Amino acid sequence: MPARCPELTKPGRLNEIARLGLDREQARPWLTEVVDTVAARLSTPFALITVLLDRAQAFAAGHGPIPGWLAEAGGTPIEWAFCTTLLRSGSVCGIPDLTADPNHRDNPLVTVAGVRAYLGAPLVSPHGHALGGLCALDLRPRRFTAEQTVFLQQMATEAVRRIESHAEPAGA
Amino acid sequence: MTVPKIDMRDPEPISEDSAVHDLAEQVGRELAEALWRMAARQLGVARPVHRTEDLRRMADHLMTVTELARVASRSLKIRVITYEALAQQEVTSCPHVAPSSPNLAD
Repeated sequence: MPARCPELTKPGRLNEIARLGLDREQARPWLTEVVDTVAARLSTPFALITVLLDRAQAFAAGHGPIPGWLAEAGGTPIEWAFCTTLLRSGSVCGIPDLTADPNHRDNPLVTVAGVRAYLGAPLVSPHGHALGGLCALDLRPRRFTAEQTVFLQQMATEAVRRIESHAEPAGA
Repeated sequence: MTVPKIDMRDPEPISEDSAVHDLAEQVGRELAEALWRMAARQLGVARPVHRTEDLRRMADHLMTVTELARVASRSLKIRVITYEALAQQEVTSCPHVAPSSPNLAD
């Protein structure tokens, strides 16, 4: 498992998540459109928008047959989050074979659930805070192309635009 | 759908101390302890809170207070539900179990 990232608990970042309401339990069809589009374009069985809270990742939207217990939780403990990598890198990150990656090979989503390949793009707010990630997941090892990587980054930008447009006005 | 058997050494276990500690990282120790104490009293939950169903009720309640407490409490709730799901499969005594489920779609 990756070591805990100090960025996770920074109040400014978490305030931004709260301002945008990304920690709330609610359906977000405007983000479901994004993950559906990503899964179709990248031909992956799963695509997620994850929000990195302090001690857990929350799923803001998902594409694919997510098991009931994950759906009920609405996320996973932070130790299982692939997208914490994005907090450190600040840019698109691809892991073609998670079983060969020292940071993630022991992750239960890999060892038990069978996720093998990951491509993630950070969701960065207009104030510069990394909120989480838009990611595509596959159950087989694979390398994503440069075009797919660019597309994911573009969709991450679109996701942030949609998140901002649906944020509650200050003081609401 | 079956809940996969998962190594319970990770994530870190949840207790009242760890939950209040995580809350304190966001709102400060004094406020975190006060919010926790008031929530337990309001819900009629005995302290220290250790049962997962009570921790989940506490998380739900604290998600209705200040924004930063809400974020930390959503984290707590996600972690508690994960533990509940795993505990229902009686995996807590199996720290090194083999995968029982080949993929997320199971």
